[in-house]
Amino acid sequence: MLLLRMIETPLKHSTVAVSTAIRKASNQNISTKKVDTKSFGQFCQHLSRVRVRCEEQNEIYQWPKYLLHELGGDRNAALLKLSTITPRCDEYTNSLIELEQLEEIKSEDPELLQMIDEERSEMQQRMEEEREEIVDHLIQDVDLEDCEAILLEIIPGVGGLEASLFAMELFNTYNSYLFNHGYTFDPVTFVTNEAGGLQTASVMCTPGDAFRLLRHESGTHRVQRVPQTEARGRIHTSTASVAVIPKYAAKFDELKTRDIKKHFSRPSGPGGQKVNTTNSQVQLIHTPTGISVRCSETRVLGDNLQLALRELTCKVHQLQSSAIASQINSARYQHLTLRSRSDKIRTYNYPQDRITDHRFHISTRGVTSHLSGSTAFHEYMSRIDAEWNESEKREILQQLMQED
Amino acid sequence: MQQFRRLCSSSASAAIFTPQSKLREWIRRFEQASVFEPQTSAQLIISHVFGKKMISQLSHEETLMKISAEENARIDKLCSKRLSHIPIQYIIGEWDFRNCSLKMKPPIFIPRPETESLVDLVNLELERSQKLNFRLLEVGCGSGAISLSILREHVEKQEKSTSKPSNQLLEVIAIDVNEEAVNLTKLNSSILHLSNQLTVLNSSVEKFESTRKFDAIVSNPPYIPSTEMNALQKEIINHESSLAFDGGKDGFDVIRQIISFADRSLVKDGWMWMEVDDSHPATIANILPHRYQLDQVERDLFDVERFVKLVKIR
Repeated sequence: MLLLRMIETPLKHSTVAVSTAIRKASNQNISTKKVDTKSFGQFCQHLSRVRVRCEEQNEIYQWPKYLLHELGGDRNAALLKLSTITPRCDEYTNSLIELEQLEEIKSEDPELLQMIDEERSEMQQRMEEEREEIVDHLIQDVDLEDCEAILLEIIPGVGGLEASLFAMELFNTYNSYLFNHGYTFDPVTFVTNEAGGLQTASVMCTPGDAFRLLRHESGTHRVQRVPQTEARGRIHTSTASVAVIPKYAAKFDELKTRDIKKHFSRPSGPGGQKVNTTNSQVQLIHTPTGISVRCSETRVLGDNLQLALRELTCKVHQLQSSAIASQINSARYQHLTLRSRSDKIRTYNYPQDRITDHRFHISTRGVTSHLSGSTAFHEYMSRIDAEWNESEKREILQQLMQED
Repeated sequence: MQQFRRLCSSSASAAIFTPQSKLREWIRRFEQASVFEPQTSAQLIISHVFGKKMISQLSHEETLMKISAEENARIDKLCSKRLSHIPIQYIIGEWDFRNCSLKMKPPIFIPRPETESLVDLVNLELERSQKLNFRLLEVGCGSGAISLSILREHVEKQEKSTSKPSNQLLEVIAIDVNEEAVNLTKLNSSILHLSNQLTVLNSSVEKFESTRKFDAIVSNPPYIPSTEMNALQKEIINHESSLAFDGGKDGFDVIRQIISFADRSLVKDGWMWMEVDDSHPATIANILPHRYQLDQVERDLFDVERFVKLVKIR
């Protein structure tokens, strides 16, 4: 099954275009609820038609591109999925016909008019619910399915020492959060500088449902405050970039051994009894893509190798899936590309004691409390997830409805 | 003059040592003394003094905290040992091998990372074996690394599996020619709660008599050709017992003894997995009696041909 996933750096202009679109959409407060009933009715008929034609024509049937992609990419599985949705679509279409008939009734009788009104409200209510159900079944949270682990990576951005300190604070925030929620994590890399700032860190975290909330953390986080090192009390802006990469169970092939170059710290040569080494650092390079991972977390060479391999697999798969995704360029992909590392997604402003998410325009107060990984943090992330869910569904539905 | 003296004494008493400052100090001293792996050495010793395995396990705040006079003395004492090229594993008295934390004691052979793959190979054989009772011999157990790692995983697997009603009974006997090695293995086996599963005996393989035959043999025998012994690291030549790695003229001395033992005490179709010198996989067929077949050759993590499987076919 081809399932589109995470992101690499997308084309800048498409990112801007989509983020503008979303900002516009959120300003106009369009939700799936406000989708025109007539248009949605046509959409339902369209879905039913697709099913019928697909069943008739089998292999030669040409699926609508985005619809097939949304249903998973595999033709057989997509047809099966569609078949579970079309009964509801038919119901909706029927309800629409009845609603139209209801609206055509001309009468002077106020009582009758009132009854018609009530009936119409009820019908519209039911139809809204039916529509929500259809959308829920059609557009699912595929990103979360089969996600068995996540790789969380943090790197300081602009701002020198202050950026590295901020990166460390962010790392501790996620660490506390994951720990408090019972997730297990294996650090793969963790390099600090002399001042206690973070140079780079990556952590493999299970189980995969951590992805549900943490996926929105991918991107550049910005902090505005007076740094510890600042003598004159000026406010500085520095950044740290976060990547949250999902690891899927058996969605892609395991990396070929011949594509992986291993580098160890000990000098090459016979080894075995002839060498006594205590440096267990491992570096793996995936030659086709050039992606490299380093690990020296434990004293056991084999364990470091395993950790590095997991991270490498994760990153290579991410690259492979985004290559596939960019070819289709669906709304889902465009939406996902908002999660590019370089996008400024959030600002932590200490003087104003406020955290703002720039994608969804959700703000909250209490920077210190937030960065402790506490319930405030969880609540904020939940709000963002709910908002994202809404806006993503909106975009995808629009794209599917425009398809013919 | 008075002021000068005051400054001196105040700076001396104000000398604050932190893990970070000690780290810097000793890395520099190791580098100056041409100590092998200066940075790793300092990191491992200092983290050990603070009860950690890796320096990354100390938080940043902890690396900046003032250390006590005792801690400072301990760091200096242990690090000074390193200046004489004593292996880290002996200095901190422990090391990790696969899934076990083992005590280390000079001059008993320190397990190498390559050997971890040997355990994987043996575990695979045990999994595949249909035998309900399996008798395994380890020749030259040293600190007990191989036997204990095998047993630990075996016990863990049994605890996890609820489906298999008839679990394999694994009996492991480990022998070593050095009595100190036998004692160390017994100590490690005790710490890992595996004493019931492992029998450790002091004997050379030549003189070892067993009333019952073995299903298989595993060994990391001494395999370095004598001529190559001088070229080794100071850590090895000066501190590890040469009994553990001197394999005689061609490096095959002990391996030949193991094969002789197999003649009398290995079952037919029994296997022997051994770690060997990198030159051996190509030449071992030459010393192999016809009763034995070189069944498999495997590489270690560094992609060097390191392990051979010999099967007794007659």
